[in-house]
Amino acid sequence: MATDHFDDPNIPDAERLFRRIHLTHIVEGDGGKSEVSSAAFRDFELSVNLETVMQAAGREPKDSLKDNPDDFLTSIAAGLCRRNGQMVGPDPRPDEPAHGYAFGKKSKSIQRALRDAAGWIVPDAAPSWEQIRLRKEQLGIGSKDPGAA
Amino acid sequence: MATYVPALPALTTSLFRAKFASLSMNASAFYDRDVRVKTTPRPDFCRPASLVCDPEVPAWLITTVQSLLDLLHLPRNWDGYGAVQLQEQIVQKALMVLVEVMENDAPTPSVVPLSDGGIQVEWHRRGRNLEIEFPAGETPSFYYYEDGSELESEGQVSRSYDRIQAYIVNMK
Repeated sequence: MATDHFDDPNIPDAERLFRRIHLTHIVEGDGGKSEVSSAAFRDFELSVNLETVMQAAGREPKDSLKDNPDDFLTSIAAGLCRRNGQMVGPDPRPDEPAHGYAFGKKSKSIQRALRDAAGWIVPDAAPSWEQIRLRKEQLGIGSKDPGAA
Repeated sequence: MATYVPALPALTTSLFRAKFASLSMNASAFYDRDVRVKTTPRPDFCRPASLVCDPEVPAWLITTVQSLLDLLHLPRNWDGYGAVQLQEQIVQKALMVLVEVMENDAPTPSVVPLSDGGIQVEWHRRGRNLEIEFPAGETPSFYYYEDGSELESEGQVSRSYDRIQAYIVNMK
């Protein structure tokens, strides 16, 4: 974890920040859709992968899932994070040189703003709730269908 | 051989009473009880073999308890970003609050873990959204908003039972 957080001006507002989403953070939305929980964007120091660092190393965005292949992948823009009071900076790690952060307090409305702006990378569109439900069932995570009640 | 480990409140008719005049009646089922869930040991973790349920127990409660039990088995660093394991006392607190604010025929919430060991329960139905957050070391809070609207509301759970109750009723 970084200790000296700062907003890095070398990271442009348009840069995509890749954020993995754990299966438990996908919930049932309206009309058979799935939706990412705001809890996925709650951490004060939100870990992300920086697109330009990955590109420079010849890595695809989906490589962000290399150690967590069951996760999903979304992206948010650095500028959106900044407009919501976050500092965006690099925090390279031995196991992930592209690691960075969106650092700052995230109120519920900020969590929601980040979640709503997040675009799907893997898969390239939101999976259906049925797909998610079945996957949760296979992995024994919150396996019951909330819609059953 | 099956063993018994202290876990979440088991669901039995004797523990859960139907709601009548007082909404606080159901929560009493979770106080001062040494309730255990039967589990079968496995090499890497324990998983409940069964939940003792009764048809009178609300469907949402059965589903929610099962989801919570599943989440309690998540290992440390379950998200790959350094998350801690769910705290059992937070899960119990959340259940007590839900029993207070939810009618028997309330829609089942989704339950998601927080990286600090807490949990969040949430509903997204018909353009209405309610999230109740039970973080570790912080006061539980709620957040309500409607799609396509500026309307949003948030506050501490302990001061807002009536509002939360009304939001959940409107989710049906």
